[in-house]
Amino acid sequence: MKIFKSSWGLFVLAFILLFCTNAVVLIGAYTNRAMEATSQTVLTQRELQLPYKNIRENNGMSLRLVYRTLNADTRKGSYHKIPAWLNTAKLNELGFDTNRDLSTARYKKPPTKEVFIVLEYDGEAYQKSLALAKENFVEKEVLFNAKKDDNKTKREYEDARGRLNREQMSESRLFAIDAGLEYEKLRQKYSDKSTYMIVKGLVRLVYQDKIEKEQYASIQQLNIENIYLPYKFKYVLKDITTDNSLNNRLGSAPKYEVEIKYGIRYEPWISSVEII
Amino acid sequence: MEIESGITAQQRTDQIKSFQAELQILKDENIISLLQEQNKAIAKYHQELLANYSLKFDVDTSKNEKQLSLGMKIASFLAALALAFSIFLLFFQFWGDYTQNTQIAILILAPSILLGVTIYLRKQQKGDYYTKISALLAFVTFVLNISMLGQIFNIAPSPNALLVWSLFAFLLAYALNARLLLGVGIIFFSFFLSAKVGVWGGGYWINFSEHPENFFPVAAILFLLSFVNHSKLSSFDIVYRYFSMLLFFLPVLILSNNGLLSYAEMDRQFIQGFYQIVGFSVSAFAIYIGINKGLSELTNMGNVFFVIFLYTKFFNWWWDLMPKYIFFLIIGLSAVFILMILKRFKSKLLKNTHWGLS
Repeated sequence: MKIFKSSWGLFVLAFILLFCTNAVVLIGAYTNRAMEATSQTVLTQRELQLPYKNIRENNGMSLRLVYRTLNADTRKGSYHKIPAWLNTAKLNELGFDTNRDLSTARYKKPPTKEVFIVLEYDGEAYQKSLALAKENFVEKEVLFNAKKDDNKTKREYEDARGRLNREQMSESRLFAIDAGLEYEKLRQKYSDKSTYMIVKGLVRLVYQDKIEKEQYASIQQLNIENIYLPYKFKYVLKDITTDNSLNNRLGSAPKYEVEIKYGIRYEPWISSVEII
Repeated sequence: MEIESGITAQQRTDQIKSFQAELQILKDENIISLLQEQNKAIAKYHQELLANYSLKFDVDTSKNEKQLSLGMKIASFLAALALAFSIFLLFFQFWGDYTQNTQIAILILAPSILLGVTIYLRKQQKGDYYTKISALLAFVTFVLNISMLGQIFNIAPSPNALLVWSLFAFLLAYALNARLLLGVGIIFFSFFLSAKVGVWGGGYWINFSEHPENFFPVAAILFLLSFVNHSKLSSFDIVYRYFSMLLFFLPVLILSNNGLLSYAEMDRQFIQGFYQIVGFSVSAFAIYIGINKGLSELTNMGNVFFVIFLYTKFFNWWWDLMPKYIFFLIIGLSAVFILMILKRFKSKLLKNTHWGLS
């Protein structure tokens, strides 16, 4: 091949590579948005959060998609993302060889799979999480009223009150509730596109409950967790940027809502942003 | 003899300079004497050759020039690195203030213009250093181009981006005889291929570094590539060999210390022991082959990794058991022992050369 032997030929190939790659990326992005959206939901600041802090060298902005799970082991808290429904039966359905992995996963690097994950917005899972927080608060309140001088019960009571407050006001209401290998099957089961977002993510085996003989997995990450905020919406949020993370921790109400859509390649984009 | 590339012109120049120095010594020691016409003819021939190379390939004809060239190479490397960082930060600094169409236009135009500048400078021939700086910047902006389009359109990360970047770096490296770009291309290619091997092994591509064995195929491919004819390119074969050895020995070193990272479903100790044996034997074999075939990079990498394997083993065996002064005494004595073996190798080589000459 003569073209590979001359430097001019190689430069021509470099130009072709540059333009073809850009064309493929742009056509892919256009195709994703051209057809009917696969998911279309309006979320709030609770689910789509601003960055923890502004980076001086980067003035572009992305919103972080925050989702939670109702965990198999409640001691591990909701941020470990080890949901109760991601058990042996579900893992077998997702194509994990649990018989083999049960013996090796604990010691080796456990296997990971890309699957579709169903995210439910403000639904049953959130109500359950809210009920748990209320239940916990009532329990601690009873203990506190019985022993008002005890520092430990006082601290636990205040923690429970803070947790309930955050659960009502600022924690994300987006919960991962199911997973599968086929989008269509999941969409048939969860047909409401505004309540159920179906996105791609990674599931990884985590641990084995030897007594129950149950294998659990965690949601390692969603394929896209940071969603770019286009120029036209950036200035809508300009007054909210600085005090975001502190407000969230204190449990203040959300200040904006964002419409998010997922295209046929399951890649999201922000289609509107409004101040509440 | 027609010289076609800068590297062969530089080799020929060095050869002429060595010949001239040796000839002078032979004359001073009265070993030979040439007629005045012969002296003149040789001097004229060499002078014309050197002038021609200097004009065409910008070769270094003296020791001072060579030192200057080295300084220029270091300066151009630093310039390329600093400018690349500067472009990265410049993009990010003003990124959010542009509309989507402007962003796309900037992202596509930046590498295209820099590639055009590279071609223009290449045409000028003389500006070799500037050409390579410009090519590296074209590469950096191409990486920015694809990664930031991915960010704007929220595209899921893909290993194919690594392949495209490596191809772009390879094309520029071969067009400009640029080793730095070749190294960059090799790094991206090794990430791509090991990610693919990870997928074939049943994992997800992002987690490719969790199994060091994913790097073995790429090490083998790079080693084979080093034997493709690269005579017109400066030390490309050596760069390939260095990377192939690195991508083989590093995973072996990791696996010899942590067998859990292996694909093999066997006893951890067995896997570690296996990779320790592989590490010692292949590094020793690399030293042997390197000496026999005159491939210094094989010898060097073999030496370095043999010593690392040895000291890692010493550490595992004795660090907790021995007083530290004895541990370091053993390390010192073993280094002396290795030195003795290498010296014996060297004298054996010299002996062979002597026999060959006589």
